[in-house]
Amino acid sequence: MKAPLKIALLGLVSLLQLTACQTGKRKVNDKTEVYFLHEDINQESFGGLGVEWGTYEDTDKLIEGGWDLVLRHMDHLGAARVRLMTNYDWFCQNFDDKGDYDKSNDTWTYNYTNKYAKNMIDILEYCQTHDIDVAFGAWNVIGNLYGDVWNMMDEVTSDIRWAKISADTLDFLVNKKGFTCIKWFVNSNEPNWLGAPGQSKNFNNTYEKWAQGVRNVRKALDDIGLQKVGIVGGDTTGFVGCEEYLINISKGLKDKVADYGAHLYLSNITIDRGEMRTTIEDLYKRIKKNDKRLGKTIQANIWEAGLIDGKTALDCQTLINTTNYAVRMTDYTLQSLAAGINGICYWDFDDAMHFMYTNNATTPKEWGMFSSLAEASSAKQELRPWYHTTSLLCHLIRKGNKIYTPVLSNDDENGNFRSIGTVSADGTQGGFVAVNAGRKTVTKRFFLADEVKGSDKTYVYIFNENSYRLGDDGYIIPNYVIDKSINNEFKMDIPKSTVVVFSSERL
Amino acid sequence: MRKKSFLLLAASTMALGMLSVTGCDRKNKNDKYTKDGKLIVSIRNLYFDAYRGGDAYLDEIEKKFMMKFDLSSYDWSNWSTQVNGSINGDTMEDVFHANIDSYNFANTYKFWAEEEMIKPLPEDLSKWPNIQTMINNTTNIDALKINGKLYGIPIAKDTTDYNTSFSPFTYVYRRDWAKKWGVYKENDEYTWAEFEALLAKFKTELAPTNRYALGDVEWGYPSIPNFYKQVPHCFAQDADGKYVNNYTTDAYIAGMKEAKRFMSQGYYYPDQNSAADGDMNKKYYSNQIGVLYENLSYTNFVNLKGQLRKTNASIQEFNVDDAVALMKIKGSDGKYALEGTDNWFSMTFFDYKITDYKQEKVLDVLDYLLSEEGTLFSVYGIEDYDWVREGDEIKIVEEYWPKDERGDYALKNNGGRYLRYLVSLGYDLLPMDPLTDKASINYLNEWDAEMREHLAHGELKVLKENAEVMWLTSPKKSLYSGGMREDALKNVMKFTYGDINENQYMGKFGNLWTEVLKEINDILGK
Repeated sequence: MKAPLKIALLGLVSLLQLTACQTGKRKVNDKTEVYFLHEDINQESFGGLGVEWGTYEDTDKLIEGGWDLVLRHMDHLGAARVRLMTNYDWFCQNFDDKGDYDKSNDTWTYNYTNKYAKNMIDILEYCQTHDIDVAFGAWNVIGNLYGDVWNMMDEVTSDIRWAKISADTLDFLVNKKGFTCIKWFVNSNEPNWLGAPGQSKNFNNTYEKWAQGVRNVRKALDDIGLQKVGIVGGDTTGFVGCEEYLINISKGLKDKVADYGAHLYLSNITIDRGEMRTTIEDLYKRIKKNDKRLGKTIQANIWEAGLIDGKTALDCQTLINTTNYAVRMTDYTLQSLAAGINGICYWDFDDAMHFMYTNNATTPKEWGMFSSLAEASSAKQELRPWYHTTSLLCHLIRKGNKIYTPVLSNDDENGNFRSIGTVSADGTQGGFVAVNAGRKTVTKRFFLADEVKGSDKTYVYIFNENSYRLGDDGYIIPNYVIDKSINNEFKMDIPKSTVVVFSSERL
Repeated sequence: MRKKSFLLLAASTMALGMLSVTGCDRKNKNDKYTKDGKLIVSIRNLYFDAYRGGDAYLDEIEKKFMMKFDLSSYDWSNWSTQVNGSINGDTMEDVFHANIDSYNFANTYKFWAEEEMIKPLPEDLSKWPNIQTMINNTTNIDALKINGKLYGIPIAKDTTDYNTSFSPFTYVYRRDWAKKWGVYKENDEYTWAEFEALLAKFKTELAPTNRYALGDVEWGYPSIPNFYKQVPHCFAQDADGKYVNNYTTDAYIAGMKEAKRFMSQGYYYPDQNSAADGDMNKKYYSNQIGVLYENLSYTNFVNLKGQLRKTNASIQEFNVDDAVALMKIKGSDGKYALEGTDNWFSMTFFDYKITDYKQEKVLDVLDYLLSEEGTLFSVYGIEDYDWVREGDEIKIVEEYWPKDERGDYALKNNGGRYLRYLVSLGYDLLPMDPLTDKASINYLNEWDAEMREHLAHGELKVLKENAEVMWLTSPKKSLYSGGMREDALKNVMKFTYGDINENQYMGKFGNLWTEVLKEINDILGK
């Protein structure tokens, strides 16, 4: 190994010292060494990162020019996938139950011309033209909390009309409108969360009803030639709920679903102690016992990702504008990917999408990366810190990339350091990400062994409360650009609560 | 039918109990368990609100007690309807939560107990010393015992001070406006005449922009008679100690006439009679009214303050403390007046189908949460992550207790905090809770101390029905008193709006009142 080469970095004085060198093999028991070697590949083809970008509940509430702003932020985010949820209530009209209890003779019509449909189609058009994979679905069955006119809340998604509406809608969107970006169908949101009558449309749900719904929808989609649209396996919330559904799916429904899908909103402590990774790994192994395809031809995904400390009764996240949220969500991502998760959609993109309706007020669910709402203060309309870290991750860890989980990926003396590496399938792009979630500075030496072809510069992004840099356009820019290939050894002092990203390309 | 199934269950439980003598553990085959052996318990509580579990803290409790909690909440505005719906449909959760007052006591708690819709607590509570202490200190606890059994846990507001005698139902006002318009009185103390002078000035200043001087929270209208009446609701006493209709006493009529005068003078927000839940609160924080009568508990006070701050965010000189000042008003008799209260107002119940084993496991958890260890867990979280001990001091770990963009500690979704609401609202924990707005709690505590002082000196009138009549369950009172109160309040509303005159008003209280009062007086020997 050559001696580390010191590099002068733009004259910036900081806690960080970067050195670069060509390197060889991993030392044993060196706690500073974070080497991404070929044998550390734990995913051969990553699915991609993205966001929840659902149908807006009221586009009239957007700021003037709001949609352009939304698209501009989506352009810069670099999402590879989107979860687009909608409400069938908005499109299904003229319901006629024929005055009997026979659901098979019920009729209704579809209105795909209203503002909800227009917005849904706008999102799909964007995804289609930007090669973004979409998980499309409906939040729940038709009806409001105080009126079950369609009588769907009893059977929930096993109701025969659910499969028909789902197939009709996908027929319109995929077969007629050509939105082949729709890769998955979400058979209702969080089926394991029941709530109570008057509070949730899902209070009657069971795994069996949901599974029957999946069978019905699968058949209905196959009947109209949509074999390529898979069904999300689960979309359940919480580790416990996921365990019930995903294990059951792996035993009796695996041929009907296209993935194992979870929503995970976790406590800070679960992230900080690195317990997220071990818990997912444990569940992953148990699913794999029943479904050997896991990690090969079928993947596990997180379709809603977030942190629950800071969540309010109005379903807002009071920490959403803090750098700590951004650092923890990066840590969340690294632990997930290291545990085998193939794709993540973060909750969520824009505050303007969803609202909480109470007796007194309609309150936006402030859990986004910015707000395009006219009523939002200018501070809320600005991009939040976690947009920038998410953008770095989306651009670095692309669809089809290999994921490297080094030995020292979840280990330092405090258990607060995580790291993963990535290289594109064609070997022309790559880099690595690390998080120091601890309470003191750590020193690490990074080395990405697999060659990134043509790499002659390394772009370094350092993200913490004090150091991330935004360009004139408001989007993140590198702290340093080193005139060396990414395939060098880089030594770095990483301050507490910091994300560092090294990339062969400007992100 | 329900009774029968309970008896069958009791029989099977007995059988199981016999088995346990032979060495089996006390687990019941009717209970459901997760695959990793955790006992599943469904719990529904109003204070869970949007809390859905899934946090690391709930996981800790679940692991510690080998239980799995299925949690759900009620809507604030439909709480009682939702409870009754699940009672009537026999779909109660294992553990549920209901609002109990003396006017719904007979058709809720007592009825449920007698019909065996709810399961009593074990007679011997010594295994759960913290629960036992709390229950033993509950005011009027004997009134809650049916055939010697207690059918639920009264949720204590405060587990260190059980002698709460008055509630914070009072007036909050715009001190900033009072100062600006020259009607402010030192220390926010107002005589009745000064109070009216303030309302008159507020009216003059606010009327041009269609705003109003005074509003009462929807359930509290009209608040003005509080300074006149003897008791909060139906049953007052005459000079001989005989129970009479409160709403037709001279004192009440005088108070009601004063309320009518305030309405006709235009002090009151004119649509009080059609205000929906939350409307008056919203009017206040959106600067539409200058004085608000409300339940100014810590939570409500802080919410109001937060909303006011939000509404007035663009006003640089806005001082929220001057916009939520507590008014101290003396009635025309020179006394302050506040409604009396107990240290609890709602209870945690157990569905009649819950097994002894499951009920005991729930009590284990609740007793732990009331213990010192459980309390620290509920308030601070996990030791050595969320907090550390330094000598006798508890210190929170700043790095792991995130602050929001305003610099306030963010709410950690801590299942312990929520489960503890099944036994206590934790008013006593507010001073130690990092999430507490210290300025607000100190301000409210100062007001409370001042009112206690006035009470000690006979300067505060606490409106409270006598316990003997409040918790008396007699056939007619049990059947009719809830409806009688509702009808009376409707007629009071009509009177203050001038829809009926005094004679018409008095004529609304017919034979039913006479019969119920006779029954009460006969039973109590008056």
